[in-house]
Amino acid sequence: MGMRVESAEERLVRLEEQVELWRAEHDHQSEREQELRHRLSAQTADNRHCAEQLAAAEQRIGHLAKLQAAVHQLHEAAMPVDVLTAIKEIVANLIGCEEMGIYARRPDGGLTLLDGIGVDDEHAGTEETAIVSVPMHLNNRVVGVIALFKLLPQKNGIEAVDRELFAVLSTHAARALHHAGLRAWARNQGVSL
Amino acid sequence: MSNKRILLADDSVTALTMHRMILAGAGYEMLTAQDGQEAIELATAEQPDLILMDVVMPRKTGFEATRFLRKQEATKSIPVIMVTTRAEPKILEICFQCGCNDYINKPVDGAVLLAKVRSILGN
Repeated sequence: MGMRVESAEERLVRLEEQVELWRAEHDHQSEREQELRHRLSAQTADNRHCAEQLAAAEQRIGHLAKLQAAVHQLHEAAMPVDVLTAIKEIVANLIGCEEMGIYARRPDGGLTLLDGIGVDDEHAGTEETAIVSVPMHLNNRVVGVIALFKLLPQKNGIEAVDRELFAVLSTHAARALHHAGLRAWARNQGVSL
Repeated sequence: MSNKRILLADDSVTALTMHRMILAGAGYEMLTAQDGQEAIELATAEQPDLILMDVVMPRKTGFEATRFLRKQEATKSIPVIMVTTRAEPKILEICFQCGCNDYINKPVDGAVLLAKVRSILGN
């Protein structure tokens, strides 16, 4: 039996069928590619969204760490001098200020400089030269002021977290000083608080 | 979570507390020193993976401590990030001349700190 030779027409038909199959396969692959591209695009957008959320969360954690460190240091300070050091560290390291003063309010309404960074008695009472004045509250009275005179050169103004730190200082600084004063008084009296 | 250890060297307890909260929260282990000499001793004994070094400290400044660490065989490869109060080019030049790998300005931003630490230690 001799092999039948495929005619040109038959060969053409067979090749056209093959081309049709390849075309169908190509269309299928194109659809699949399109689908994968869409999924990749959605995944990329999702990843970007997650990265943005992570960055925002880490930013917030950083802010909360500042606030927690500030409150912790104020109330850990045992003696009044330690509280003053804590206030200076908060203002210098967490806010970024290189000239500041901590003032107590006298009965006549004037201010007495207790401590500071880069200031001396000449600055006492010159609250109007401050860029920020944080009132120190105790029992609904303003008993002193923390005045910021100069920020670090790389600091571009007051930020949201700084305002939160001002609120912490306003609420907690005078209370911490008051409690430390009580502890110092008790220690002088030989009493343990 | 990472097992990488970071030595924090700063004489400000407030700064140490804040840095520790941020980095411990990201899974790093912490060692702390409150002056430059203590930082040298701890770095030599404990071989941390990274040092966050304040510039102005008692006994030895951050510059002096970093220079010393770079000369010691045991500590010369430990990466150092300098924490600077001043961001002038002259100060940054001294930082890099001392052998620090990177720097961060005060007031330290938590997210920036984490990004710099991760760029050195990996995620």
